[in-house]
Amino acid sequence: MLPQMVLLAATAILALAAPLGVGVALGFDRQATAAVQRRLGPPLLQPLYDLTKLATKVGGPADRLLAGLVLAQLGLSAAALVLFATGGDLVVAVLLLGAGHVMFVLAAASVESPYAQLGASRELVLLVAREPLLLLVALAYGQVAGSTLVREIVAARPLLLEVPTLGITCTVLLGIALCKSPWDIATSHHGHQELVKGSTTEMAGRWLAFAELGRWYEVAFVVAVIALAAGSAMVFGMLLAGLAWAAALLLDNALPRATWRSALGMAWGIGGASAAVALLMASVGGGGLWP
Amino acid sequence: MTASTILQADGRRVLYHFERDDRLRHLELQLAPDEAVPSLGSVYPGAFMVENEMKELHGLPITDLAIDYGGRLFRDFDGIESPGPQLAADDGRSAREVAGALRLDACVPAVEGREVRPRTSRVPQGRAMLTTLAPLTDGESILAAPRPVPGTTVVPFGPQHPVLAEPIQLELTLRDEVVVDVVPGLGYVHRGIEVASEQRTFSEDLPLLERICGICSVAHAVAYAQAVEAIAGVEIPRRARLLRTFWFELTRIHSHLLWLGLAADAIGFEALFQSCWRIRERVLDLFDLTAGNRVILGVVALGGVRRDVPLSMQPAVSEALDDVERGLAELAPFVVGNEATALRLAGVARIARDEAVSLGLVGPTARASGVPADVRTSGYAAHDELSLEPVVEEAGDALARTVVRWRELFDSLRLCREAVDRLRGLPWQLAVSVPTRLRGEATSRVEAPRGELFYYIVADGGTHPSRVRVRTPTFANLAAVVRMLPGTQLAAVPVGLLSIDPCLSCTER
Amino acid sequence: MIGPRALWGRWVRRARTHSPWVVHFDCGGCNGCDIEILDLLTPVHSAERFGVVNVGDPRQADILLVTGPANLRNAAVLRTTYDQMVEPKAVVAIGACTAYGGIFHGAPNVLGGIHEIVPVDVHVPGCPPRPEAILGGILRAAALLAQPRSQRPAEPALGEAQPAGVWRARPRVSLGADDA
Repeated sequence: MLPQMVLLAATAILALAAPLGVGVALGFDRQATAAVQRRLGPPLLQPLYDLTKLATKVGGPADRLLAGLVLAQLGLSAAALVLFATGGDLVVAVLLLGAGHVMFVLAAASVESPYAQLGASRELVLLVAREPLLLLVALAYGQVAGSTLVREIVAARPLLLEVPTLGITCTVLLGIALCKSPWDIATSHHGHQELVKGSTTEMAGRWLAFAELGRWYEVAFVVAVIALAAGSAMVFGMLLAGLAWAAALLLDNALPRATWRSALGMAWGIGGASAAVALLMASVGGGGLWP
Repeated sequence: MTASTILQADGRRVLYHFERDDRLRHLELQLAPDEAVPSLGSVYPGAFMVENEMKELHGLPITDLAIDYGGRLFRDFDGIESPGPQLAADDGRSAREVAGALRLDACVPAVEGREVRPRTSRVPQGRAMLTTLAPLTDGESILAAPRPVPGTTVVPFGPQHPVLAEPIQLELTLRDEVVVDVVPGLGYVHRGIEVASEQRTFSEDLPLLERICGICSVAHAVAYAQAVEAIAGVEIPRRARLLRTFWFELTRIHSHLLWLGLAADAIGFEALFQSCWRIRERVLDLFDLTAGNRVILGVVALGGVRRDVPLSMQPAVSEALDDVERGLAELAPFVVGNEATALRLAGVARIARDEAVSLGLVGPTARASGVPADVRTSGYAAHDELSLEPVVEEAGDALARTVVRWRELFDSLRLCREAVDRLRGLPWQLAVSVPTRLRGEATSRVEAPRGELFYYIVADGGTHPSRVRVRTPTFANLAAVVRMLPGTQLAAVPVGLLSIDPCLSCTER
Repeated sequence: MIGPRALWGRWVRRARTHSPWVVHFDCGGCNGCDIEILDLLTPVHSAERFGVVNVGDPRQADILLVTGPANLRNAAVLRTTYDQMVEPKAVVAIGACTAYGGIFHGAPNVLGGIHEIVPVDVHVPGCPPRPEAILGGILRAAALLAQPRSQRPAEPALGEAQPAGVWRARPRVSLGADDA
């Protein structure tokens, strides 16, 4: 009993430390984007530098509602990842993540700036784009493995062979989580967009750091969901995630930002169609979630 | 079409300058000190911008203005007291001295020890004004007329906004992310250059007027120099004309590439932004090589040019131009014929051809609406020997303007090469001398990258010009902004604004 | 052996100086300096390799880049922008116009340099300065970001030796001896 608890605790702590890995991965991402654009990128640890700098800002606006909502988002996203890492129910984890995103939308909406309001409504669009896709992916996994518990999905036969079209959906999901074109409609990591900073407009200093951390947990979650497709071969899973990330990056550099309607349409159209196909393929095999 | 006001001891002299098909006609009015002038809005709707400017900056009373910004187009509307009409202060005091009475603190006023942040919204909360070109009754100002429209929000776009390189404020009234009304607020870049130029000699004015705008600085320099040379009655050497055209067309290339990059960034296409500016660096290298500086060149002199492109430099010049052409060929699939880009640009901010003519649009903005007007056909600098066809598109939307500028890039490359080729064998005479005291008046028009640039200079026999009037292309094209933005999505506002290639430093001088 | 507190201090210092987020404010100059600033983000100069990101929101930025002469209209907006930024922050004034008004000195509506409106940490001279010079200015200001303004050491008077910046260049880029 005790060793199991220790193992669980250790997994949870590791999951909480996931942002460190995500930071390095984002550093890779910036260097790769720069390379595609034929210029030099920042050092590998740059996202961690950025996060530390934001977290250690002195002073700054302190709106209690905003602070509470941002912390709620952080907590929920971290909880989703911890639940995943400790083998819990995938659908519950997805819903926790969705709740975290709703907190973020509320945080953005609590600001009076018109840009923040517009950013909040666009974040809502992204939420509506993403949650159904995540749920479909979770259901597809569950169909193949016979249960939506992560520890059972890991033990089941590799999902990659059964539901390959999920790769497209996962690329879409990663694109949304990483704020890449065409889905960077709500906030952007570089200037020159009509919304200024959109949903993160009034967030400054440590609250921006917490919001960023919440997003990093989301990214870690999506990466973990992709890696799950390889079952217990974790290295192979990471490779899959890397492939999806590379695809999202190339898409980012080939496409401009979309209007919110087309962003939603593309997410549901491309991602949703592939997820539906995957679900069909998984159900055709018989058995699965429904007796 | 534009107008100039010249203050005189006994009143004002107002000139209206009209242009059609490369022919100019000027009408002059002599006015007593307080005499008012009726607006031309009913005849020529595009006149409202210049009339608002004259009313505000020169204190010229104008009646029956269709769109009247109530004297707050340029000057503050933030509750900060500003000194009176700029040109009325003729005792040579600078703004600093005039403001000295109102200390600098007045710019950040304090009330009972607390600092009061000025309101930057000109539209009272909860109200929206519908921009209309129907004439208001005399004395009625569009800003004073309360026409509350429920269900709308007012978004102050600017003055400081990352998608705009320069400060301009647009008060956008939105209903569900669709723009219903636009009220522009200028004045952030106003430096009073027209007045400052009267305090300097003709040759000292050249570096000042070059810096009206860093992007089209060669255009301003050439236009000014041409006007002064016309007053002096000198003709510049052929080598100087060709060299002016060379640097002018290079300016056009770098300006269009800059614009293309900014437009790409505005629609979120960062990779295209980086590529355009990378190619533009080659053009800046060329400026560095031939002129010694990357941005403000300082190559134009009164009477000719100050630098030469000798034979030994010409292989480097052609190599750089070839690099640019190769770069453009790489970019082509992302700009023209790209579905995703076209999706964001097509149908945005459309202006029909008759509207373009009645609003007085110039440059690529007008040519994209089917108006074949290009000042280069009038033959200034070396354009009498280097022929050119205006690049015209019909659609009139942001995509058409992109295509017009894209095609002009290749035209300019060709003109640069021809200009450099024709330098061979010409005598090495770069400039003729221009006397320091001049008397007369002259106008000069050039095709700046953004459109027609118009200079009108009056000299009364001294070493200083007595009036320098500059009408920049973006000033004329701003009328288009007020017309084209209502009806567009908020996401399309930066694209719509950028599609006229706004240069606020030109507009506000 | 350095203790954890010192280690954390070093990490924070490194993070603060290596992540200079920039907000650019144009007071109303000719645009020459502005396009050279935008040039910094583009492939040939690529300021992103130093962590420079152009964020448009003053609340999220560390360094305020100012171009153009101060004029009556812009003075209040500039001050508001500066006040919205969160410590530690620095101001880089770019070009001759921000120093004394540049070529527009004495023109109506131009107040002159910006040093009376916001405290300037670094001046970059030029009309316009080359992008490399602007980048050098930004990096000097980045070195100052290690501490909030109230805790920074006093600036040396004219004629005294300038202290070496704490910012160390990444090994594959060298800026020159006095920027090490």
